[in-house]
Amino acid sequence: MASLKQNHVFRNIILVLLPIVTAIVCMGIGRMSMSPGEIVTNLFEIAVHGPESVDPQIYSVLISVRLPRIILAVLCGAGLAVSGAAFQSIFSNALATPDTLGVAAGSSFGAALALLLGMGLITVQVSALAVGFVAVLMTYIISRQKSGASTVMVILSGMVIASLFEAGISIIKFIADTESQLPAITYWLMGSLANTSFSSLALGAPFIVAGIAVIFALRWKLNVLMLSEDEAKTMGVNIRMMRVIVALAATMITASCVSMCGQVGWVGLLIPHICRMLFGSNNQNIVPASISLGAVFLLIMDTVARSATAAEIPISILTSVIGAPFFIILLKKTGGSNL
Amino acid sequence: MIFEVVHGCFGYGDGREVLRDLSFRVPEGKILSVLGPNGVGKTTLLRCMMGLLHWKKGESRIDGKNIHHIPVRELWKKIAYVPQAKGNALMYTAEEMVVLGRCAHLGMMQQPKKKDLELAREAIALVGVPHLCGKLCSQMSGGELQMILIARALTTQPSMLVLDEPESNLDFKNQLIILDIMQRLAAEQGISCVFNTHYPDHALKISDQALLLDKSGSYIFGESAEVISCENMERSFEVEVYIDRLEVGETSVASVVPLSIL
Repeated sequence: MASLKQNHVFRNIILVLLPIVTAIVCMGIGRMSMSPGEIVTNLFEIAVHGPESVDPQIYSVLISVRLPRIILAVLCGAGLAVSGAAFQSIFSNALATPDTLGVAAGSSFGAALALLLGMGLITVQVSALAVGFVAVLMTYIISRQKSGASTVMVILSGMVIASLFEAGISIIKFIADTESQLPAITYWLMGSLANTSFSSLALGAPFIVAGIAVIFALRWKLNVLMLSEDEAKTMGVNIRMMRVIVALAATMITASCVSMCGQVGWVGLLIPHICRMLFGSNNQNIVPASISLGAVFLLIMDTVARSATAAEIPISILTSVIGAPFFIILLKKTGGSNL
Repeated sequence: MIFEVVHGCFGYGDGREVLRDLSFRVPEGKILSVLGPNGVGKTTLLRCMMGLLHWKKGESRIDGKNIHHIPVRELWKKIAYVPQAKGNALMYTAEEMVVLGRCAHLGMMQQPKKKDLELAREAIALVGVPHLCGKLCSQMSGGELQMILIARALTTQPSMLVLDEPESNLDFKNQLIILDIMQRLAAEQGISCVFNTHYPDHALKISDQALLLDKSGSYIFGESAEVISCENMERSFEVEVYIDRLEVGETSVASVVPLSIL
């Protein structure tokens, strides 16, 4: 770890380059496969000489089909990982993630409700955000005790809230029109990055980018939230305001991700933990590392989801299949000592 | 900076008053020790005086100004708090922990700079544990962690230090280091210190003033040597004590010896 710390510059360069390289490689994978070199030259041509300078088929595959999906994967991966890291700081609890706190379930409920009522994408976003924030607030209030919140209480309250909203989702599925709405809601809940376009990105991306920016700016002060209540107060930070701001930012990210690509589990738990193992607990390192590795992780997962088989695999199935065994190994290895 | 508590009263929810009508004053560069039996409210007193708990009546003042009217960041630039080093499972390295002491000096979105890191390293060196720099807090002994928490408080460059039983977990040498640091800070930099202690000897050794609490909720405040007398100690602790004065070389060392339970 000491050597990594001395090589700050080297490490940062890797963290910036890794997602870019992965994105370029992933862009070339699919039914029409291209080498990274070809992609770079084509993208360069398009950027410099305009869309007409390349083969229209290449243009449509790269720019219209693959690029929005790549951008969405980068944003959601980075966003979900960072919001996981942020929730872990707010709750000073290594198991707090959008999934375990019920935020993802709440947002899904909000989004599904809006879908049921036939609302537009903006309303879906806002509804997902609002219900997601209510969910995290409820979890926070329930788990809060005089002596601070214990790990067990946070996880239990999160479970209760999550199952409450999942029951809500079930009701929505139950009353949804079986011909049109139900398949749409079900497929969307399993998570997919397939239905992405630049116009849907334009609605969701600003929220994710803004949320990440807020958490990134506050990354060092996040460390204070991990201290005990009294200690944190004596550091001269307005703890309550900080918690609300960070929770809002993280919920905003989660809700936007959920409304664009459904529930993609595990990213918020897995990535911050890997970062902790690599770079220590300092959020100054965890937040940028989570952004980078989260993006890489979801890029790879989504590429597998769309190209491993003829039909598309729902991405949350993949993240669970990878995530669960990985986490078991992590738990066994560390004996849960960094939880 | 002059810190004072004026007519402070505090009680927990059950209505029993823990602290009754407390008034005291800590002038610049002076050391105040707080003594009293277990459960009498020493830590409560520290938390109330810093505003972490709210006085039921009365107030704390810095240079005559109620501390609740001072913005948080300004307040915590002036006061640094050293909590008891209880099992701390945080995976921060000593250096990362100590640099957090700069929090009040840095804005919401600022990151610690080179200067802040240097201050942190200086503070770690000052408490004499430079070898701990890269060690994780979660792997430290109680004593090591205590030294790191003190270093963190020093990094804040406060006008007043508040320490909750700073020497409880420490061995002889580290106890002396802490007492020595408090004395030096007070004498050289005019930083006043308030600390809780279970060692009347330490109070006599370094503190200018002492505050002795007893279970009835009353208290005695004054010059250390006057407050820590056989008679007062017996009443507060319900223990028969003998105060011995040893002449060691040029200096005289006072030692408070408990004899039997009253």
